[in-house]
Amino acid sequence: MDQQSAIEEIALIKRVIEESREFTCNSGKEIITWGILISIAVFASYGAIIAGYGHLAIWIWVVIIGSGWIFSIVMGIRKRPSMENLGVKILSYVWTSCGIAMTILGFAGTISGGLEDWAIAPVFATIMGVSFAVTALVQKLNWVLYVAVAWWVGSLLMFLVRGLETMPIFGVMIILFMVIPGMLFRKQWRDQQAHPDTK
Amino acid sequence: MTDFDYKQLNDTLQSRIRVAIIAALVSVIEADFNFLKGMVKTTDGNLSTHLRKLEDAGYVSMKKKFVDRKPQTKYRITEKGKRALEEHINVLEKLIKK
Repeated sequence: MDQQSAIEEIALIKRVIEESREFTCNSGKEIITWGILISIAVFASYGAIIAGYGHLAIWIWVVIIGSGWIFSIVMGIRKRPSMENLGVKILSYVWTSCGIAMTILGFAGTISGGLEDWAIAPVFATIMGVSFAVTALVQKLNWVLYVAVAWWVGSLLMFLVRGLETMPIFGVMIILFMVIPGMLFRKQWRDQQAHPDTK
Repeated sequence: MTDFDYKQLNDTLQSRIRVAIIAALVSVIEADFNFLKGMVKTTDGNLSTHLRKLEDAGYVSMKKKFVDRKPQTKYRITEKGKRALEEHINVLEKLIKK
């Protein structure tokens, strides 16, 4: 081996280490599914309240959020990522933790009376902002940070609105800042699967 | 060229593909065959052969399991593999500095 070969080999080692460290497995599938489920729950429960069937709202949430968790658990068992690095682990922990936090706040918070109904949406929006901010950092995607900021701005707006109107606002935010970003993650993931050497 | 001692170079890591496999595994917790194939850009047969050599050298450990009735093979770098890569990089750096 000569010096030139040694230089090339060091460069190869560096490149492969960087690529595998930065490789992430955010397929976007769960974000899209959860986004669709939550937006259905928001609009359905809003419709139920407007129509005078407010007592049904909690059951709409129980069924839809329950389905979401069953989907996530099945996905977690069936679909193992092709690789696991620190970034993949952080994303998995952050999204699962935020999901658990929102489930606790949504059900225990409102049933106990500790959290008023109208406050659920802005509180959820604040947590969503955290999930997207961490995702932006791990995946090194600046546009995702703007999504996080949008969630926080929306949260402030909903705290100012303070009423039933927070529900449709939240529903629209879910579509704009969760389902659509999920689709973009999915596109990026598909590109990454086709060409694993590109980030 | 110089008085560089070529015996210092690790025999197992003489192959660029094996070096790339070890480098890909050093920064992940575990990875499957397809991920490694994408990283080192080689054929299935070639990758299998090199992975077996790395396993025989004790640099890589392999775990097979069934997920949803489908076989899944995961690879991890061992402590011995990490040390070997570190020593290999040191030798390469020495050669560059000559």
